[in-house]
Amino acid sequence: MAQSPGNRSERLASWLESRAPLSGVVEFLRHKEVPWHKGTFFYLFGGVALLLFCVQVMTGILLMFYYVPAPEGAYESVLLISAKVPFGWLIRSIHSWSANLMILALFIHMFSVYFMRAYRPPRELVWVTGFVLLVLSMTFGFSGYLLPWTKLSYFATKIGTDVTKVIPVVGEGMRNFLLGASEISGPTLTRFFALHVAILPPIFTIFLGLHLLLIQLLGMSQPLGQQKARGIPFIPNFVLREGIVWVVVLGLLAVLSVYLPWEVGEKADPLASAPAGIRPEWFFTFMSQSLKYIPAKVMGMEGEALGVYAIGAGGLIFFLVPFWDRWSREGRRHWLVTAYGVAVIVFLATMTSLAYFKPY
Amino acid sequence: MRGNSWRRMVFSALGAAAVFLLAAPESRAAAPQPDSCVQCHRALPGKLGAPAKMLEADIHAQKGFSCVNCHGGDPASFDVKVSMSKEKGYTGVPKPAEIPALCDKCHGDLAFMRRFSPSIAVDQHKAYQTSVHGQRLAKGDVKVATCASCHNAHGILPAAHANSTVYAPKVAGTCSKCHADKAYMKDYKIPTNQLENYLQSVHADLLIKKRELSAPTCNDCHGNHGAFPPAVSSVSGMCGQCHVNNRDLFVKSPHKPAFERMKLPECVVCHSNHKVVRVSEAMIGDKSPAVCVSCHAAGSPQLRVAAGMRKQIEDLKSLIHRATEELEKAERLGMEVSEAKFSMKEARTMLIKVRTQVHSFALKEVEKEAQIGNKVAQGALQTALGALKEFEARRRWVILPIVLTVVLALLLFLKLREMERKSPGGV
Repeated sequence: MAQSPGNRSERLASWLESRAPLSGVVEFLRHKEVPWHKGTFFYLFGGVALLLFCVQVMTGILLMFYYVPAPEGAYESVLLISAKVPFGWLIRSIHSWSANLMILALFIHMFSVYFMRAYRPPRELVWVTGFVLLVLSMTFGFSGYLLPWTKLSYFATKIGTDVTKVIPVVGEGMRNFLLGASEISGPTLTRFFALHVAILPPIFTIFLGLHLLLIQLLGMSQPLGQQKARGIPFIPNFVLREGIVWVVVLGLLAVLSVYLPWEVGEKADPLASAPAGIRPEWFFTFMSQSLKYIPAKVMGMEGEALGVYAIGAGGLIFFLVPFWDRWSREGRRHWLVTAYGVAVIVFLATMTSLAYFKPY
Repeated sequence: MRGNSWRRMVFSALGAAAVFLLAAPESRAAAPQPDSCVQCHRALPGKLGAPAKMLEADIHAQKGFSCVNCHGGDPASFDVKVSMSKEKGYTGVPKPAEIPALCDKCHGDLAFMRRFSPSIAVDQHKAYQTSVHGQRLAKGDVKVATCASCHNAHGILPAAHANSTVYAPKVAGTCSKCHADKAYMKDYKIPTNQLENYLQSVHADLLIKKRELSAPTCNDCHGNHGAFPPAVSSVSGMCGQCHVNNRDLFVKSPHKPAFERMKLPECVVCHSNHKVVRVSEAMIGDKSPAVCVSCHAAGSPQLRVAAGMRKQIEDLKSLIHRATEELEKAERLGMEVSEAKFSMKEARTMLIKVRTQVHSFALKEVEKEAQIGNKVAQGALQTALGALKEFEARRRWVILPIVLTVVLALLLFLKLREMERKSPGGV
């Protein structure tokens, strides 16, 4: 007697369940809901960042097949990827654009969480892991910027690593550890490569896993002031929305990578003088630009050190918001928290714009 | 006894004189302390005080010399009647005719000069005596340049010092102090427009404006201490000091014997002497302003060769220009063409070689060099065009993912709308 198809799939499900008991997870996802309110759209940016991270991993692995992490071969291998390897230019361009879009998505995601006060108890650790993920992503960007070994990336990294000197006690040692030598050279490139492909990815994956796990366990945050907003089913309603955004982001990535391919630039020459217009990646320009406005000495202190401490302190206050915003715990939206968030955005946007439109 | 005593005295005096003479170079270096010349003259105004004030920067003072080494006298005495007395060897201000010999006392002594610079030349005076300046001075013309005219009398700086009057970019200015002065040069019946012409030359542009110290100035062609106008037949040798390949090709060319017969000053005929302007293709060819037409008759085979050479240069130049433009365009669009861009350096080198080959006045040789350059530039151009073509293809193909994206997003949206038709948000 022939088995019916339904019978066959049930048997397969039963076979799978006995070996991988995931029915609980499936059941959980089936009943999972996402709060439905005017800010729901912003929930999608976390997913966008996740998608772009996956793109980064895939394109990064492909680039590793050809990339040579040594000063004698790094630039040449990037040229090879861009000119000779079939679709190498596209993979490299997607990797670069995707990295930048991912940071942008993370910033939007972070600020939306901040202004929605979604970090309030019991989601402090979701915020903490998310903030760590942003820092790790920026470190990914910083380490990846040097890898093509171009003139611009060389000198921008030099300035970036010199900033660590101002950190008391550990600064000098930290710089030496990063550089592997007194100046940016072969060991630095190897270390940055190791950081970029071997050290950061597992750490990032752990924090990403924790972040996602905590969200599943605690659920999405309800809008402030509403005890229980109405929700939409995660599957399929929210997933479909996320799908639309993902498709649009992938299309945008394809257009950007083809129409505005990432140029290779000139090879780094450590003996040459620094070229004009050195600029780090856009998400670090707020720091380099703001340091330019600080005098060399401020009340007997090194201006640069003071600037780094001030930015560091500002970042720390932002990072610790779940612990000092006692108002949101009481279900209140305090102007001070909003003002601080707006001030951070204005500062970041102003300094980044100045770096591009009026650097000197 | 008395006779012996006299003999002893004479021998002692001769011995002392011999010791003095042999030791003379040593004593030239000894500047006594305190130096009354410097101390007194420094306090004096105007011309009398200036030399003492300039002494500090003077290379001689830095090496331990002072006024006494040129002017004599006794710097140990602060009594002017003693320090500036003839008895103490004071010679006063040397006359122009005496200056070359005075400087040569030290600068012509190799053993002495070696102490300060092992490789220093000591033949300046000998060279000077062969120069027009030296020869005229010997005949009593005191208007001509002597050492101090170019190097200054006081505050003399090494030639490599940027403030020295004989620092390469300043030489033309130094020579022109006399040579551009019409009134001063009136008796010599030579032109006074050398500086004016030189300043318009490619050499001055490089040396004075761009501080390219290997570019020539007056002394590189005329000599410095042995300054002399070059003979008509030695012009190519003079220019060939730097333009080696041009000279080698020229001396083997049919122009060399022809110019010799006609007593024409070789390179100068086409390039001028002081006003050597930057060369361009316009200089050769069968039509004005090509220099060729000033000697060769219209329609002559020589002008056909000239026109052919010009065409080779122009063709290669325009090919290089086009390839460079296309490569830059491709690069601006993010295409990787660095290898081809690098190869353009070779094409540009070949263009220089072709221009150099013109001095052989042999069309076949020019064509041979041009072909190599054409091949390289053509290769780069093809790479650039290929890159641009690929860029266009990429733009066309990207339509596919865009369409797919739009369709997929639309389908997902329609599905969502259908699902949520009854209850927005699916709630």
